[in-house]
Amino acid sequence: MTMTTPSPPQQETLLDYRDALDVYMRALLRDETVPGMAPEVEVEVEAAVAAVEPELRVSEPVAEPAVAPAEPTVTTVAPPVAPAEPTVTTVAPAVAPTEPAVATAIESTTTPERVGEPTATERLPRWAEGRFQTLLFRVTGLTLAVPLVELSGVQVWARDQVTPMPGHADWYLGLMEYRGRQVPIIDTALLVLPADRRLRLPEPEERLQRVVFIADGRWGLACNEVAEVIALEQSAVRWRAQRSRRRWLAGTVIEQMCAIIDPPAFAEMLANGVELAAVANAAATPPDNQATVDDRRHRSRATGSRIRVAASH
Amino acid sequence: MVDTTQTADNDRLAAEDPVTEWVTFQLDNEKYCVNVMQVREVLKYTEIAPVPGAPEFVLGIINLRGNVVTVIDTRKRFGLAPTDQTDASRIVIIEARDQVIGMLVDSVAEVVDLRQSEIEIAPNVGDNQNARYIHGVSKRGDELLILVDLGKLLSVGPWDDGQD
Repeated sequence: MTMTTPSPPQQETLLDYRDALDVYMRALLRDETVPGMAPEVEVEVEAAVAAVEPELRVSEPVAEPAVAPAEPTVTTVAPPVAPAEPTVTTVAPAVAPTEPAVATAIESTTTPERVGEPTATERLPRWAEGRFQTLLFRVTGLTLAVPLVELSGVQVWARDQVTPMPGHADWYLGLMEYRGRQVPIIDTALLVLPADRRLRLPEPEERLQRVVFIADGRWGLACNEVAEVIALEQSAVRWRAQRSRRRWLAGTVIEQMCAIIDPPAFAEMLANGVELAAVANAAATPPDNQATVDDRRHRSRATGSRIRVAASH
Repeated sequence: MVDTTQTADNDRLAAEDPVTEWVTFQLDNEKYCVNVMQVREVLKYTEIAPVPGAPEFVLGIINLRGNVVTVIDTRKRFGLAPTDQTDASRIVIIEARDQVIGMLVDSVAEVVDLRQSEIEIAPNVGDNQNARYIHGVSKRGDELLILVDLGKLLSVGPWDDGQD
């Protein structure tokens, strides 16, 4: 009897923890990236639609419930390229730390519904000009980079300084005072890590040490630790060409194995709930072996949906 | 003359920055508060008769001087872990949206005056309609008061489902 030993399929659950993260990073790299800089799109409506539509067909339908067909008026305002409106080009080169997506949306369209529409952030972010500096921070093994021009500050995580808000998802840790105002603090790992890794996370108190504030200090991203500041060349980053999902992810850097976040897009996502429904749905429909995790979260601070899940056990 | 001027100033200040009164209560380690105008009375914990088939956050009903009042488990409604009743447990009888409801809370603390300028509107986080019943927050000393909008609490989420 001939034993054929086909090579076992690579299952992420059998991998070492770091290897698993490597797989995740590779998945990020495969996902909607283009080598080198983002293509200098001619910003014609047809080209933009052609670029977006195939993405809509092949991507996971659950992950992007709010993605609407590309609005021609929106896709015409990529900052780094010359759009159809010459007046926009004079504005584009300026590095604007506050909400470029909102500004461009106002310039570009009168449509009130911005949620889920592709915005100018689908092109190269405004802060990504030439050589730019980023702060690296770690979220349970995954290294994220935030551009310094979009960084508002870093503060020590302290559970007793965060007031939980009832009725929210578990990735919303609560409000923390920062610069005289109450700022929502996000458990970054619960948003950016793949679903199967989110289930194995230790308690927030065991892994969170710092809070990285972005978007003019309006949001705090809790993380494990803050690492060093590095300078990146624009060409060293694999920028994502389209961001119909994981809008917070601007690109990846292979050398540092880090993912660069786009703070304005992240802030917009957090405020509007784009993509967050998918995360909540994944958390609300756990596999059977998740009971202990749910029970643990239930004891600490559970959402309404988690309560329902736990109570049914 | 001076008094008249001061009174006018006070009136103008009150108009620009009105003061509202809020009843504070405790759940876990956090202090919440509801507008005093919506609070009818505060009761000590009394036996609550369960109602089969009610939403899970409804503890049951009590007889309040001949009137039947539904009592909700505020902890469960807020997504907090359950706890046993203590001597400090209270049922806050509130009236909102033409309904009289009892809210079981860990304890009731005090009535506080809050100026409008002291209330910070809670930022929107995500698109969770169920969480819109948090009107805002107010910093008092070292603690943060969480202001609950009872009208929305009784109009969104599972409560609304239960009514419909």
